[in-house]
Amino acid sequence: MSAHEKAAPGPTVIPFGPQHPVLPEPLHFDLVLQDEKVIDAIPQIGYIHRGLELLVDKRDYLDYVHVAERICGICSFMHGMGYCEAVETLLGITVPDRGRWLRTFWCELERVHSHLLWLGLGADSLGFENLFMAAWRARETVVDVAEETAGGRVIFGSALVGGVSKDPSDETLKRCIAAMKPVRAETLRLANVVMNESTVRHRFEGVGVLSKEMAYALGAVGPMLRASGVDYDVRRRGYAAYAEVDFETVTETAGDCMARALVRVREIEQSFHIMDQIVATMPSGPVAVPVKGMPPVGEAWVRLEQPRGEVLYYVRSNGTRNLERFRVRTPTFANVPAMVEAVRGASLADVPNIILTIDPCISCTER
Amino acid sequence: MARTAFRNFFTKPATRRYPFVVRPVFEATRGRILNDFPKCILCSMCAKHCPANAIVVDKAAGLWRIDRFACVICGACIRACPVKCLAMSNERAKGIDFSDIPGRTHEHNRATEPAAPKPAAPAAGTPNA
Ligand code: SF4
Ligand code: SF4
Repeated sequence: MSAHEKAAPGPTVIPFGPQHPVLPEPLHFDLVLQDEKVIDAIPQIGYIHRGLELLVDKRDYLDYVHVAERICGICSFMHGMGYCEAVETLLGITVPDRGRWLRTFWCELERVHSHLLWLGLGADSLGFENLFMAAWRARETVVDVAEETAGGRVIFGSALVGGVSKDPSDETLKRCIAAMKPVRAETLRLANVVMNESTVRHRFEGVGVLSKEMAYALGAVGPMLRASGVDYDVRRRGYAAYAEVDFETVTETAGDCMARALVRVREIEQSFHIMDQIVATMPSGPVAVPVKGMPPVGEAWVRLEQPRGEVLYYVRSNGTRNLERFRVRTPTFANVPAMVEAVRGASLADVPNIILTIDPCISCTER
Repeated sequence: MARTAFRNFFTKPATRRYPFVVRPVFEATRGRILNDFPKCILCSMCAKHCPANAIVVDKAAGLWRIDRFACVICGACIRACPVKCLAMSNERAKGIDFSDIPGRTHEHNRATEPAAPKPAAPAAGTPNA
């Protein structure tokens, strides 16, 4: 062999993250490449572990909801509410109707703001800054509504064991629904852009395909699972007021990045539809029941559907004011194996947008 | 998207000219915690329930202090207070006041603010109040 001829090179390992322009949060991948193709990806998490679960045995169980809310900045209300539902199951408390309705309203508001945020980040990952700005401009109205009804733009802060802590008037809620009308129209327009714009289609169609069987076998959840054609949505379980509203579970069959984007964009419309019904049928009465005393010895768990998928909360009590154990199984954690599978076989340049279409939330994952 | 680009020539900016134009706060906005100090009995319940350990109460020294940067404005202290002297204001705390370095705390002191029923207004002109 002459000096100029080289043996065929073996696989190369390229580190991806934890600091990367498309990643809002630290996540590390070792991408094993053969030429430009990813043949394997080794994920590594653990950069922003904060030990929030352990705090549960240092805090009063009624105060811990404020810590639970801070597990994630985007699904804040749902984390608080999930913790509350788990503790309420333990205590055998039933939340008053108006409280359940308001919880549903805020859950859907959060879903809209999360999906619009994702659409912005997803567009940003392909360098489509125009779409990014349009999505975030639309989201601004939604976070303002959150502040007007719950008191905080991102950390709603209105979940409480036994109900909710804020009671916006029916007029305020109606005004908010009216204020979000333009957002609804804008979302439809943006959905059109996602579907028809050649920039998006080039980068999303047929990229990062996850088959229905694989999605199911790897335990994917949320839009990731539904984009592969599995009709699974924990809201069907009917927690909060979901049993009383009519909505459609959005599914797609292609399983590629485009399908995941479309599932989210179409879910926004469903969320608006749910909020309309919630406000139209809002019952009157108290929003919370007073909670006193110690939780009984025992354990409880609940499941909710977050914007990123199914989340599980587990609490165990030893009969004191401090719970013994709190555990959250977050959707992104469940989606990591599926994410690795979707990245496999893709070309290096497509890795950022595949990872972004999982909508990773690393702060949740590591808690 | 081309239409959007074209339209953007004729629409107003989506952003405000902050700090000249400030969006008004809402009724429900969680802005900051206020203490009606003359009513306060310095019982420390608020400090005990605060998830951020932002409140320090020293009964012997007659001191109630909140660290506005540590406070996450959750309202747990308001629920915990037995005499209901804490309240949520929808006005946000102003930035750091450098006249009061370390400055990020806001302090009430019995020496300057006697307890009720003695007539006493909360100290006027307290920084970061
Ligand atoms: S709980 Fe209320 S009365 Fe007690 S120290 Fe705090 S503010 Fe004062
Ligand atoms: S609002 Fe929350 S974080 Fe702030 S002082 Fe009160 S309990 Fe502490």
